[in-house]
Amino acid sequence: MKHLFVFITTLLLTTSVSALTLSGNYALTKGSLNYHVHYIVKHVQGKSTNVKGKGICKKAKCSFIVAAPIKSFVSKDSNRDVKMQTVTKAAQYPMVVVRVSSESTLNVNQTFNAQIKFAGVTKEYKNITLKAMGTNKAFSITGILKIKLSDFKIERPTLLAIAINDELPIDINLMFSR
Amino acid sequence: MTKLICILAIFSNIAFAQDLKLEDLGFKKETLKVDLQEQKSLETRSSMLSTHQILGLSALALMAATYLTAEEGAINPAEGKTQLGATDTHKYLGIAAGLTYFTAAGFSIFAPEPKNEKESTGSTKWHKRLAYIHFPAMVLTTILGLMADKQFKDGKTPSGLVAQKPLVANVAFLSMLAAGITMTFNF
Repeated sequence: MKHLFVFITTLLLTTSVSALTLSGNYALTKGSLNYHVHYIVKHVQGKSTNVKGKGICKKAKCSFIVAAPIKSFVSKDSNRDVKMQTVTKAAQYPMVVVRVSSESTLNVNQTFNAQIKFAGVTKEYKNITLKAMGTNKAFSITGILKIKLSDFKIERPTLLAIAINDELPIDINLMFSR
Repeated sequence: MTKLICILAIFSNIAFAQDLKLEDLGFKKETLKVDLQEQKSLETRSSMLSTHQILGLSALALMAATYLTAEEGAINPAEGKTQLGATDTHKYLGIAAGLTYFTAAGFSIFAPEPKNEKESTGSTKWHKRLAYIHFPAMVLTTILGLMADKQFKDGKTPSGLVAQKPLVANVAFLSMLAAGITMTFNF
């Protein structure tokens, strides 16, 4: 009896973790976006927790929108934040908006197609692999979105005539619930 | 054909995603507001601060050169110099350093402030704090330099506060150096 209980529990847990079938409307309950900037040996991060989003799943398809104000990203230096707002044209294009589409059944390592609107430029990214975990009532999406500043025509800040790296990895940490 | 199906599939996914609107997410209206004037102001600020950085580093180099030529004015009987007084090299380097420094300061002071500016954090906080040391020290160094020059011309040896000019100049140079370091390793 005990073995049967363990077997069923394991089976249920494995099922909920390995595949997640979503339906209905979802809202982002908690989230953060964290960008990383590299300059030769220096590494800088900027984080926003003022992230909002929604999701709709119908007809075996899901679509999500996640957005954050550019000005809400803070690093450990106020001057750097203002510089970041200048080069990303934060006053002219105040939001970074990510639209994601996928099948309604999410695997642990799920591939998504995303459309990112940032600094006035819209760029599509295909087959991004992110981690999806939880239940169809509440789930999390985590992972790293590898974008490039040149994709959005953002002028790279320089120091002593050397520009920061073009790659701008963004840590995604989103919690959705129905 | 396969490519066409793929393109249609992607298009349909994206079109579906368009149903969700940014305005429905609950951000405040002012957060979504486009402000072209503010963008222009940010760009002006960035340009002025870049000039401030270049001029600040130039001023630092000139201050270092002024510092290195300070001893040339010392009494040295072996070289036939029996009266204390700054050399022209030291004097003109000092003037150049002062002019560059105050121009650099102007580019920072008159740069437009960002809208809803928050309290400075990180290296910027220290960079601004150090200005409370090097700015008065530079003003004082300039005044003391002029006074010392006058005293030298009158054949006097600097005395009183004027005699403290090297100390004040050192404080200005070192605090300026520290301010330069805080921002040079920042981008």
